[in-house]
Amino acid sequence: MATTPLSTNTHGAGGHDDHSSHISSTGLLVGVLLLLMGLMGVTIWASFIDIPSIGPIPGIVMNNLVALAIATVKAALVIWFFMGVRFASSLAKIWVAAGFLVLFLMFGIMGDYGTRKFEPVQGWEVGTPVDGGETALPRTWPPEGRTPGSPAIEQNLRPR
Amino acid sequence: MAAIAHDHAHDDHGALHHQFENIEQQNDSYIVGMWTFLVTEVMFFGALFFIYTLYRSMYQMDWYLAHEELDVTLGGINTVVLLISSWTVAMAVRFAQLKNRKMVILNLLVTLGCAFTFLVIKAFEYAAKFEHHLFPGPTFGSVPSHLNGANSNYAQLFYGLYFGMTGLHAVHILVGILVISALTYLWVRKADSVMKDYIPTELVGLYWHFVDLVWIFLFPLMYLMPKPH
Repeated sequence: MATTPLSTNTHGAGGHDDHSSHISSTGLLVGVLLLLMGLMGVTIWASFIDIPSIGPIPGIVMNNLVALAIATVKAALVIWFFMGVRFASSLAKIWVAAGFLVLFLMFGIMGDYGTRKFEPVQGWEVGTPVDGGETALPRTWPPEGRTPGSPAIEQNLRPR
Repeated sequence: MAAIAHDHAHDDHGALHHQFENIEQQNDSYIVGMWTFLVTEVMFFGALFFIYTLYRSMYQMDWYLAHEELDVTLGGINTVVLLISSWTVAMAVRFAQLKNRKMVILNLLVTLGCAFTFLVIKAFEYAAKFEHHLFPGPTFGSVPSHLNGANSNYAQLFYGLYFGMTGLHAVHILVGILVISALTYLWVRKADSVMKDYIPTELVGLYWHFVDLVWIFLFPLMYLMPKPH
């Protein structure tokens, strides 16, 4: 028992040599930087392209998915290489992953907002309600019908 | 046992504090601690990203029209500046591990330069938005040509989040400048706290990478909205 800290200490006291395996090489860091720059270029380029819809997924959603996928890859590169999580202990890795997992789970709240229009609210029928009554959410409904320069939308605005 | 470890630490490794068994355990404690703080930051910014997602999904066309007023070139330059600063911080940590003091200081100074460059460019962007009455408030949208045909209310919602999120990010840059300056000062003064242990440099680096991480998402979300089609 007593030898455990001693032996690991001797190991740790190696200092420079012992930690050299945890030092990223300049070449690797430069490579990651260039990759990040390249991905930035790709995301700018992709944002100006109208990606066609694939199956039931509309084109605009495809565009957003591509942009977020690229950003996620960039973030992963920064976390894994620049932030040195690849050298971190399993505990630190799980901790980092848990943080982002909880962030991801939080977006489940969208399910609440997305389903509010399923339930019309009585007494909110002001102006020109669609589908028999205005709902808990927007003053303008449906917002999807918006095209630039259409004045019809202003008429649907509920007085505040 | 503790006494043995304690004495040993003082004999052979100045960086090891007495409550830790060995340097690996100590470093791991610091890193997990720093990530605990960063995870709270993820949740802090995460709530704002959620609000952004909600309203962007509701008012896609108006937000697209409003966002066209942002300058992709300036945003792109700022992205490059932050990526480079992230790299120089990673290099500073590398040289801290190699105990190469001069290169650590050089890399930290370049990082500080990048941070200031970012803020100056951001200030020019903000100034243009104020001038065009695009800051949320009573006179918002009083120059309709800058709304590009977007509904003023929804455009104001967009600019509220634009200023809120990029402003909070800019505050993090300011804090980063303070912390990196303090770290550079310690390296210049040859302080034992940074010279004998690379962890302080590593932890400041983690914070700065996080600031970069936030911008990696802010840039496409604010500046690069695809055209609804």
